[in-house]
Amino acid sequence: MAYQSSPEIPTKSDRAALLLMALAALLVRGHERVALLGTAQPPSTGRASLIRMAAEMEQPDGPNLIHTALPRHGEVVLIGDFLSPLEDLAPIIGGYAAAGVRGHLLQVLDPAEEALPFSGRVLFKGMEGEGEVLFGRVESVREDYQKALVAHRQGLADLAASVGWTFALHHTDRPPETALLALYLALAGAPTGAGA
Amino acid sequence: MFGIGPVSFLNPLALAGLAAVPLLWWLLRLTPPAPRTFRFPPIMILLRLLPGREISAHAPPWLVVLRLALLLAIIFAAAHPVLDPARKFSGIGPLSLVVDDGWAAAKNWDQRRQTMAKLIEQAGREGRSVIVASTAGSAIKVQPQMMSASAAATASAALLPKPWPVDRGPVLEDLTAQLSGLPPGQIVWLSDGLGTKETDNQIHDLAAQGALSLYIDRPQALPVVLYPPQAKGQKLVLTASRLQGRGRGAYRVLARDAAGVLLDGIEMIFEDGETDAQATLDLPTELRNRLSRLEIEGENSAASVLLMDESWTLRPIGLALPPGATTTDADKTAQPLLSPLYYLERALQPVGDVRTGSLKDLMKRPLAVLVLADHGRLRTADQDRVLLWMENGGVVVRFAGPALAHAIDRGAPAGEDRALLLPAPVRGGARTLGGVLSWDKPVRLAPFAENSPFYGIPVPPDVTVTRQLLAESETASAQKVWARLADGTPLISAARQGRGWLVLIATTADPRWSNLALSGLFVALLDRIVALSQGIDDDLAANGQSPLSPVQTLDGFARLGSPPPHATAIAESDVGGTVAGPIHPPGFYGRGDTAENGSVGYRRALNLSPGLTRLTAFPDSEFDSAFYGERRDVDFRPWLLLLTLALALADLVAMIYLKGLFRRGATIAAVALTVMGSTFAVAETGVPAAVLQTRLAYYMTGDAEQDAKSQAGLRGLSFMVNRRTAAKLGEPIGIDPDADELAFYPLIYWPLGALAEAPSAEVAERINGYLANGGTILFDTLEGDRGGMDLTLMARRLGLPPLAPAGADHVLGRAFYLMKSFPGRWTGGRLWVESTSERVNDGVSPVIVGGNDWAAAWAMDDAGRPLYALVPGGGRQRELSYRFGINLVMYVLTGNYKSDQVHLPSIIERLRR
Repeated sequence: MAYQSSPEIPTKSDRAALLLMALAALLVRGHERVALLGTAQPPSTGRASLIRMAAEMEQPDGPNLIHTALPRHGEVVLIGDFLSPLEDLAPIIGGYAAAGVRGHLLQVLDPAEEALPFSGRVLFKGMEGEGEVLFGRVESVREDYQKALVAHRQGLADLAASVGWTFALHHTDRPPETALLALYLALAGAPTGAGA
Repeated sequence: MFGIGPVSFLNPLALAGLAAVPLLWWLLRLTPPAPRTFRFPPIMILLRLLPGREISAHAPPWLVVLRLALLLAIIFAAAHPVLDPARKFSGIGPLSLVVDDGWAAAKNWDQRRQTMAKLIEQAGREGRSVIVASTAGSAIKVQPQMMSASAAATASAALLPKPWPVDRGPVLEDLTAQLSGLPPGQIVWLSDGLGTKETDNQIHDLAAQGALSLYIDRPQALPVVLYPPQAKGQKLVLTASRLQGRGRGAYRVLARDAAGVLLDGIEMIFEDGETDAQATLDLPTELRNRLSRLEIEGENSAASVLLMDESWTLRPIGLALPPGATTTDADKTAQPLLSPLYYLERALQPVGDVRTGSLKDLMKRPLAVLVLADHGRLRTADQDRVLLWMENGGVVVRFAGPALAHAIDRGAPAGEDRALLLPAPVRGGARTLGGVLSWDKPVRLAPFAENSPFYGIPVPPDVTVTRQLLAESETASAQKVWARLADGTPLISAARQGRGWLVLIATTADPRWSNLALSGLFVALLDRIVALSQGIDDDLAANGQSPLSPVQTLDGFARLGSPPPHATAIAESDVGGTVAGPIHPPGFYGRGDTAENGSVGYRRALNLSPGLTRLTAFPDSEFDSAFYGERRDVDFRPWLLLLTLALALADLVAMIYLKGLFRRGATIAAVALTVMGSTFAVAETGVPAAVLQTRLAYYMTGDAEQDAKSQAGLRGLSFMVNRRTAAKLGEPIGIDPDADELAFYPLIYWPLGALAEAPSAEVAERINGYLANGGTILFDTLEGDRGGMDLTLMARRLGLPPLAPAGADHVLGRAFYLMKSFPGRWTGGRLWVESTSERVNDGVSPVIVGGNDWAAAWAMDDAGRPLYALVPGGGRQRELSYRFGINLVMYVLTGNYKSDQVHLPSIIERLRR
């Protein structure tokens, strides 16, 4: 997530954090109770909970998707690049859905991840120790890559749709306001809820 | 030498590197360039793509090809391929080398030798024998020999240019005779660039014996010949000639003495189109007499060098004035044609270095010949000196005349006939011929006898003698008669005196007794007599047949060395006509008997150039000819190296491209620029404060009270100037002329108390420099007109200009305020400025002197209150003193600006009011 293809574009995690905090601020203003997933804190409202969330974001391990018990009729907002295999994501989303929680997925991607703008002989290394892969000519795999990425995203969208969740895509080179608005509207359409 | 077709490799071992090429091909293919590395989050997706892809572990083929080409270029460059069209020698017979090894070959000998070596090496490769025929010949005739290539290589390496011209005819005949019985082979003629009328025929004759090819010199490599100079009095006019007249040629002729010390060097310029050039060498007598060798710089042929023997030296000849006369001026102005010195000077001028003076003065310097024209009895001291000098080789020439005749008439003390310094006793009274009371007619000269040193000089019929002195008895004395009159009476007689000569010419050196002095014979006779002075002994002078053996001779490169064994002696009289050749190489010939006194002995120089015929170039011919040192082969190596460099650069660019460094390049360049920019460190040094702001300065007297007063006064003045004018003055500074740079200060206030000392000489010099370059000093004697120190010493030290009181119209009274007086602490004292209105320093007087103690009047404390009371006092005086100060500052800052006529009307207007 800590990836930026050029210095002008924020890293995906920065953008995700920004969106998260902005959304939380909006929700708190609407007297919703919010909490960060993966923390033991019950959802709460007020400025104090915003500050607490920000502090928790700063923790080294940060939020995680470990399945935690959520109040019924709560809502979950998951922001991430979701580049892990779908097989890994499906049980998490399915778990939340089984608990009767509605959810929203926002995939944050760097434009370079979309376009694969490399050429020539390139060695790619994973950000989190996934291994490395060498291509003699990156150009030759670009099309396949883009197809695979779209397929992955489609799988993600299908997964969300299968449990009645929403799915949205955001690129880090675009203004965050649109993504925030989309999220807000998705949340506003829901009757009640809490989540993060 | 290994070759492929016309291309041969000078270093074929390097081609072994080609064996490694396939291995390298494999290695290069297997060693791909290092990839660029990126961290990339969606690597899972990429990993999933992997199974369908083959990851290229090989370098791209174009890169492999590029690198192989680079490698091949290096290998071939190391092998040094040469496209050598040198054909094989024609025919099957031997290689005949005709080598011109005359003097003209010296200039380019190295290339000739290399060419020879190359040809002989080729002959060796082709298994031919070689005939080397050198055309200069030698004292012992050598037949051209046929020998193996290796022997020929040795023989040709031993060949050296000779210091004489080539004589091709006999050698070529011998060669032709030897070749006639052999199958035709290759003939190569290495010419020396010079030709004769026969050369064309000789070329064709040779060409009939086999395939002929010629080597000729490049036009600029052709030799230059220096001919013997012509003496024009003191000067030597040198002539040189070259073979071709194209272009302007500048040479330098060097004059050296026997030890090789350079005496002089003169330019010798060949103008475009000219084959001859002249230059004039003008050396002082002492240097000219040391002259031993003239050479053209950069030429090393024997013809470019002239050896100068003693016949070129100017002998000092003394003309003794009669005892009465002290200078020659009287003779010159009054009646010069009546003075024998007049004729002698003119006759001897071309022969030697003529000095005129009293006998005593003349003997102080070395002399070769002493001429006494009509001297009577010499003073005893003089006579002893002359006799001693003659014993050591001096030549005295005595002319008769009335004075001598009178001295003889008076008679000498018995047994002291030598006291008159005559070669033989002479009868009293002169013999008059053709006089009024004589039956005889004026007598002509008889032809010179064979044993006379004058032998060979034609006697003009119109030379007659009307009076002469007669020797008493010819036979009894040891004298020799060198010239007689037609009636047999001796005219010129001589006697040996030790190693010198005493010569009496029994008539006058002016036209009184004979018209001899008016004739060319006079000059010729004196010339011969002067020639005696180099110590030619009697017999030799008489017959000139004694042989001169070679002492030192030139070798082919014009180096003087011991003579070769076959060099033989030349009869002295023949030296002039001898043409230098194998048996008489050019050089010094002489009697090698080194005299006890260490002198070298008698030497004559034999030079090559006088015997040379007019230079003509080697003729052009239709045969294959080439310049020496001309490369006919094409060397591929530089091109291969260039190709290697280009390929290496291409590889570098390719690597940068593959590494994706192009986009980062701009950033790197920017960083480099930043780093460079930051290396400019500004060294902070002590910049004098006066540089940054205009300041007044005062001279620190060392008296603390006075310095404080000066400081306060100038601070007050600066304050006023800043307040009232546009000038902005900084804090005044005290300066020490010993240590401080003065140039920054427009005005220096210099209080001269009663105790002031004049500055030291060094300081005065610095102050003078300051004043001369536009500075101004206000000297304040502090005491008004009542006294103060004496400025005289100060003025003298400083070289102050003349001062005058500043009048009412002086610019100082108008520069800012209109003022009539310049009060300070005192009033009334006069102000002195430079008197002349010189247009230096923009009309600003460098020195202003007064005694009104202005600093005291200007001085103010920090609150602006005056520090010193004024005399007589009053606000007006204080104001006026400031006005003077402001005027002064304006004056030094703006110069004569206010004296401009432009402002005159308004100034007059103000003045009128």
